[in-house]
Amino acid sequence: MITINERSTLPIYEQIIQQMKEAILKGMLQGGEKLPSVRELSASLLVNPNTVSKAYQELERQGVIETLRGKGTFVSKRTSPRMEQERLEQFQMSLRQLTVEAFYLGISTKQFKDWVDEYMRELGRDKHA
Amino acid sequence: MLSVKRLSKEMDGRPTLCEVSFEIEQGSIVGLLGRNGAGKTTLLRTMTGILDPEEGCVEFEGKDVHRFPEYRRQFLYVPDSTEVFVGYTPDEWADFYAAIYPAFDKAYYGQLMERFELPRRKKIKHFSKGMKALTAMIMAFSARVRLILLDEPTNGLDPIVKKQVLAYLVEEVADTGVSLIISSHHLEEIERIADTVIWLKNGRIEEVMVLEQLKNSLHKLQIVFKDEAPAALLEMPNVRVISKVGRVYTVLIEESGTDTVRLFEVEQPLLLEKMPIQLEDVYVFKLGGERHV
Repeated sequence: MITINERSTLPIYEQIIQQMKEAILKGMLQGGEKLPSVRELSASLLVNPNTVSKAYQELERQGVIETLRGKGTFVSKRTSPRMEQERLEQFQMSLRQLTVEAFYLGISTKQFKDWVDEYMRELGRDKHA
Repeated sequence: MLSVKRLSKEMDGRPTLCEVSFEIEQGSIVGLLGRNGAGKTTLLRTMTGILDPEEGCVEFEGKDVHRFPEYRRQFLYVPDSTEVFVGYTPDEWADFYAAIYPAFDKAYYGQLMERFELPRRKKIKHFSKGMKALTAMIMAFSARVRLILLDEPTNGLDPIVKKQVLAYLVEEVADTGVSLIISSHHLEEIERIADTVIWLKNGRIEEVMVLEQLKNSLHKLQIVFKDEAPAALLEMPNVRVISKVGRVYTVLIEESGTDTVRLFEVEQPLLLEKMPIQLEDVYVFKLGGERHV
């Protein structure tokens, strides 16, 4: 579920936070599902337990996960708007990458926009476009 | 919990430790790094009370452990070889430790030996290197001490046993809040499990680093300049060129902001790419660049 990338410029606890959120977004982890304990996760990733608990604390603060005393840590049932925000940002990043590629393929802005309009129409959105 | 205060030690008339000071908090994993001969083993042995320091002291919760030896029962040293116990069986070793460490947990010892499938009544000398290393660690953790000092615990172990050993160390810290000092020159292991790293060089502390801050205090850039490389920039005191292949420079920059990085950007290089910082880079930056350990 989580793999620590030593080549990343991100500190380990941020990698855990990001990948945990990603796993939830992708549906690999569902609301109410139990997460590995700090002990289990740190032993399987071979990272310092304090690093894992720092990541869990931050995820809890952001409302992504919740700890029930004596029961463990779970994925929050309510989807928080913060996660929507992140999905949007991710989408924007992918679009940016696509745009860069379009530029190098010599695709004009107009062509690019036309395609977007066309796909939107196909999906039944944006009927007035 | 434990403070080392201006510790100095001579070995064979040669100063091996020089005014070494640092502190260890509960539940922390401290990596002790340095090249061979930097004084790592001497430091661990002096801290444990095997050696007496010439100057300075080691205090466990405010008590000098060389003056009050009973406080040494709160911590335990695991040397890099188990030669002392080769003639014993694990059960005999456990009895021996139980006599020294009042909190020794025999039931826990039994569980761990079972979990790692180690024989309890076979002499240690018939054990493989990995089995010996694991047994030594099981003994240490069964003693239920507050701090364990491990001298190169993964030295010579195969990758699978190494992983098993590291996972076990991490579990123990998560479960019991025991503190660990691990000496090593295996940077990549320490990088992930330690929260703090102490760098020793020629018996002195070169640097104490909190690993999480590391990625913000050192930058690694790959740069290709259009024309001549600007010597004035490359010779700044906080800049170090670690390699130059063709026209590609790899440099390390030490700073908490990005002021110097900006100076490089102003030169409008053909390529300027940020690279991830590895502990090894710090090693090169701090300890003078020689790579052979």
